[in-house]
Amino acid sequence: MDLGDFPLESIGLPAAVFRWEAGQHVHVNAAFRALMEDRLGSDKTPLFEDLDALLGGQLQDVNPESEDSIIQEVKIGRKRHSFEFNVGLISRGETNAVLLLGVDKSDVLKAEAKLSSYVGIIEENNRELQRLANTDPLTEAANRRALFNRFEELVKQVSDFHCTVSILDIDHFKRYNDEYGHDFGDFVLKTFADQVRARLADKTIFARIGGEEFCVVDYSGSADIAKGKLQGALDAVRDLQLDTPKTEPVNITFSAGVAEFGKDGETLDDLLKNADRALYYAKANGRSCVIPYSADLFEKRDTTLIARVDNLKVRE
Amino acid sequence: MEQSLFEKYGGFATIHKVVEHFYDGVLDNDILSPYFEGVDMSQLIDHQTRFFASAMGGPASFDDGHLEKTHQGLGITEEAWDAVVAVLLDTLNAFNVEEGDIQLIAGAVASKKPLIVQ
Repeated sequence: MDLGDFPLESIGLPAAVFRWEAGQHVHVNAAFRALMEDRLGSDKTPLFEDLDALLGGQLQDVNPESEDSIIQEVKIGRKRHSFEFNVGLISRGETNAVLLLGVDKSDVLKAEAKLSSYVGIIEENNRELQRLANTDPLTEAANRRALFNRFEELVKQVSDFHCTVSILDIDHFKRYNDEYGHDFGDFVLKTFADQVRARLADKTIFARIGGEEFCVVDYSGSADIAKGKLQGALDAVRDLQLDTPKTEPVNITFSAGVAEFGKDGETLDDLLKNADRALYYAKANGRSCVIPYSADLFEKRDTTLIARVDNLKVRE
Repeated sequence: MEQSLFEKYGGFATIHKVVEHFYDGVLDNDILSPYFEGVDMSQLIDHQTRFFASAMGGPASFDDGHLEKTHQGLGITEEAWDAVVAVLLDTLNAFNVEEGDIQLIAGAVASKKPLIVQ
């Protein structure tokens, strides 16, 4: 078959026929020549490698037997157009003869690009909304809803799940608010949250569950390690000097109660309840400490302690 | 909540056409087109869609750090800045955006200039 006789001009699209081998002549029609006029002389018959260069070197990566296509940007006047060049086998031989057909896909590709951009923006937006719905805006800790959802997920997903659930409560928080104003109160909350978060490992949920009350679910290791980390956070918070709107800086501390999954409850509600009891004990026991829950915490007939707890009940 | 210009002018349905117009305007401009030589078309459209959605108070937001980083090293000149603002104004006018709204958008865009021009 003489490829020079192929009725290329009857095809309304840019087209070329050639044998698939370096050094072979490529027969092109007028539409193809017009499309490539800047880079293809008006009468020269290009070679296979010239065509490959026109297509950005993509031709050699194509398998002529598999009906591949190439997307190549071509300038028409000043406009950039994206052409899809389809390769089709027209006769098999020692070297295959192929037909290359170009279709202007600019409008379709532009529409696709816009659509995917919109979808990307909307997805980002949804993620942001999701984040806002699950986060306390001041401290960027998870909120109560997110805490319960993530706990449920963990229990379902992690095999042999184990964790500690702790409640942390900033000591004398009301006093800071009353004495230095709400802006300072917010500053205390934010500083506290940043410090505690910085000392927690990856496998924790850190949530704000009340005014100055936070919850830490630690599922990274043993209960002893979790308690150790809380103690570390307490030491770090205690060392801070916070500048107040008045002259003297203040120190802050927190009290924490810790409940252990399994031993002290299976549901988050039960665990929080027991962590809260231990927290209550910590508050009565001089504050600024981490107290693990145990069933006999209040059974010890420590009269001074009971007196302190009663005293606390009256004041808070 | 106050309606954003993005919503006022028809959301993505309008941005779609605005991006088209802006895209043609930018690539048709001798000063601007070289900056986009070799830039993938879908990337360019994504960039412009976000640019407009954001400038009109829509859902996409350009975070300043990101804005600065992506334009760094591109050697964007005062001349190129002026050219892109001209294409922007031309585009907004073509879509009959009210004069006051154009000023709002232009003001928002102008505030980002130090992050973009070297």
